[in-house]
Amino acid sequence: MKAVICGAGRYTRNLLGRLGDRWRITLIDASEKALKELMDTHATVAKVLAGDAASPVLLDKAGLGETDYFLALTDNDKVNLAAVRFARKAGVPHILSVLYDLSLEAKFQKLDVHLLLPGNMVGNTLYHYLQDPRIQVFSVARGTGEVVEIEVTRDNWIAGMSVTVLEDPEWRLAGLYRAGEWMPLTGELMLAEGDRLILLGKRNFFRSVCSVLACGHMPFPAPWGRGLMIVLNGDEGAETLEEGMYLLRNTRVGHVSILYDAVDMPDPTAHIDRKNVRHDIRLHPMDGRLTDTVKTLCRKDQIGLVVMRPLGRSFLKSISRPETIALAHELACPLLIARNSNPYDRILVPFNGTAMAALALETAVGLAEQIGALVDAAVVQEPDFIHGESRESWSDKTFKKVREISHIHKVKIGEIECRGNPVKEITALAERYQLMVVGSTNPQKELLTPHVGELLVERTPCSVLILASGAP
Amino acid sequence: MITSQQTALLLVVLAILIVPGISRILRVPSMVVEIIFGVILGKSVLKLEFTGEWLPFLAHLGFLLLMFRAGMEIDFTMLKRQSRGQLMFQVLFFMVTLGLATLAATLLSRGFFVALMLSTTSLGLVMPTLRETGMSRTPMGQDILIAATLADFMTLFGITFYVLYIRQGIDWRFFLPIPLFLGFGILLRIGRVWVWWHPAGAERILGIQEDAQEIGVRLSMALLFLFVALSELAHLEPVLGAFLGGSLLAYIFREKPLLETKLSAMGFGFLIPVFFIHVGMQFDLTHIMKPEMILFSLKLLGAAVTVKMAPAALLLFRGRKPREVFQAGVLLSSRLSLIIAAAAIGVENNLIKPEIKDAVVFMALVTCFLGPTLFKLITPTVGSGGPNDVVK
Repeated sequence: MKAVICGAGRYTRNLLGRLGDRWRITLIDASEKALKELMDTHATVAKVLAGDAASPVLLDKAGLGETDYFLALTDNDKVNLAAVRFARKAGVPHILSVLYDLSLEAKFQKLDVHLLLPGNMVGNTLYHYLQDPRIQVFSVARGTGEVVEIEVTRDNWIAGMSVTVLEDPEWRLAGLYRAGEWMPLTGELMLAEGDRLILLGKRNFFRSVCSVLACGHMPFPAPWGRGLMIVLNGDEGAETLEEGMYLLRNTRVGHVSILYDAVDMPDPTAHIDRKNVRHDIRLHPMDGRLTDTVKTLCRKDQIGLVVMRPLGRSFLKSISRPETIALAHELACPLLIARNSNPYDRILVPFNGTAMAALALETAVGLAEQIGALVDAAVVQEPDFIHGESRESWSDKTFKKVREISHIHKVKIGEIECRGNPVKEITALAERYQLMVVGSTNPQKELLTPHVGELLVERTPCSVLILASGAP
Repeated sequence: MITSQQTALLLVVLAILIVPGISRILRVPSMVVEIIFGVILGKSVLKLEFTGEWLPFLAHLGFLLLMFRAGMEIDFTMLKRQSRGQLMFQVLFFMVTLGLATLAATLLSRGFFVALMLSTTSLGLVMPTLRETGMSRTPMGQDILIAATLADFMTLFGITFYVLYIRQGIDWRFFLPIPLFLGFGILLRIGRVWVWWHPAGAERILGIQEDAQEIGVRLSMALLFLFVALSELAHLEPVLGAFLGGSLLAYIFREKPLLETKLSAMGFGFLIPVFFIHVGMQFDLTHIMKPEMILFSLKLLGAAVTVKMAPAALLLFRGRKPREVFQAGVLLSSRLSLIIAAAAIGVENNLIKPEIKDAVVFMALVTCFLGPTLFKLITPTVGSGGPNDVVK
């Protein structure tokens, strides 16, 4: 086989070391020294030409008419482009070039040249390594696609579930390798620890895979359950349904339970665009007290998120009990108080450094990854006379925790520092956001003492996601 | 000898001016020098009698302000940090003190009122001494502070209700203070919630934001007189009202150094020294110079120290070393303002005789000088090693 190679650099040197005796190589490079060295050390090099690889005279001398392969491997994209153009005109059947500057990709593709993108390959490898070194990514289909190989670990949420959980519009499961064998991909096949999954998708689908399968984090709301419950408890049932459907489309929810008042709203599914919803929809007419029914259904339907309108306010009850927060604590999953502020482009998390606030921030980050939102953490410093001790370094310590979470999740989290009353400051900030995520630690309130969480839920103009418990 | 108001005013103002310098030279608390100065002027030495009501009035105002400041010294944040077990231990500590004080009063052939007086301590002395030695935030310092706070609070309540009981027995009037306490509780909550909702307004009151109208000082004075008036209405001792007013402020504003400075300037700069000088002037040395009264005063002193030193031994069960137990006992033995107030109330209600009051003032003078001085001598300052493990 005959091949002409432009450039006598690292790639050429590496390649020559692998080629067998069947090959007859012609090398073109500006450096006579490099050419001589390769000629002396590799028997496959039959001819060398010193000069500019873009020169038609030199390329003509190389004998392109008789060559099977043409490889443009110089470190100059423009030289490579000129060389491959000449080779294409000369009718070389197989042409390959390296390309560093991706803006020239279209020009090379027009010539039907097989491309190697070293910058992209190295960048991808580095990126994948930083995201999760357990995942391997291979570029295929001339760089337009990727194959991702990923191992199912013990702490991965998909372990023990059917392969159908991997169905996704962005990729497909191409193979499952278990204990030295390739498994048939049937719906009954259950995923197990140690399985190696081969996923095929478009270029850069790795990030989406990472958010759903790997990196040790389960996608929201999966840690609590695969189901979404939409409670049509107010006058604006259609809006609540719409916000619920928005979450359905943008999160990894398995099924939907709709709790509705059969008298006021006979058929809520009439409001659902069936074409866009492929999930299992379960209808539950309201039976008995709203909160009791919600609690019962949550357990029964493995609900991971409850969406409902704000509860009706009662002055007497509000004195003694933070109603919404108390309900959130009674549920085994997060509660979203819907105010129809979707789509969620910006998410605000009031952060005070507690474990629940950290969970709220991590959940917000997980949700933001799925819906493509930005997350900001707001720290409100109260004056010293409220707590009786100096809190000078408190906000620094609290922001340090925010940065830790940012580092763990590799996501930029905006930092906002305020001073004053936490409810006033946060509700004023929330006007610029579409969703607020609140972590709550206390379902009780003392007499004549404000409950910060409840006040935030009541006064915030946007939707509020309340986390009162970790995943079961 | 009867002296004109002008001369008296000149003498008192002069005393207030020079006493801090003298106390610094003698290395004794300025209140001790002020009382001694009063002793020299009053019944015991020069026997000067001042005409007019201005001195007793200023002295009473100074006393109310002193009790108000004592109430302000309560650290509710520290109290809130204590576990239920720790608080129970402190209640036990006080109950043992009261039990021993009752025993001591019986041995001295005195009534329960003397036992209540012996149970007092001086938060106003304990707090600055702990701060000076850098121990106020150590576990040991916190134990001493809580013990002093509880002793002040409980004895003040005890004295108030005991006097009420002696005056009118148990009838409907005995329960008249209940609405006052309920109102106090509600005010505590409302005040705290207001401050939480309006931090900027609170900063103005505390002087953090510039305020030429001195709203914080006006509010403090209003609180002081409101509670004094309310306690008069409920037939309680005005000192309790003043104390409650101060503690209300302490509960609402957990950190208030600027306001404290302003009130201290007004109180310790003038009115409170007048009170101590007046106390000294009322003191009759001849009362305690009789052999039986000297013996009684010494016994009272011994009892005052014992009822604090012995319960301090309970701290051994909390892992404290014997030296720390001794430190706590010595500092808690210090008495000053509250015991003098209690003695005045006792005389006023015929619960003790004037010579007993003088013995109590003498005992207060000795303990308020010896307590902090001994404590400082046996306590290493922070930074030189020792038991001062700072609370995290």
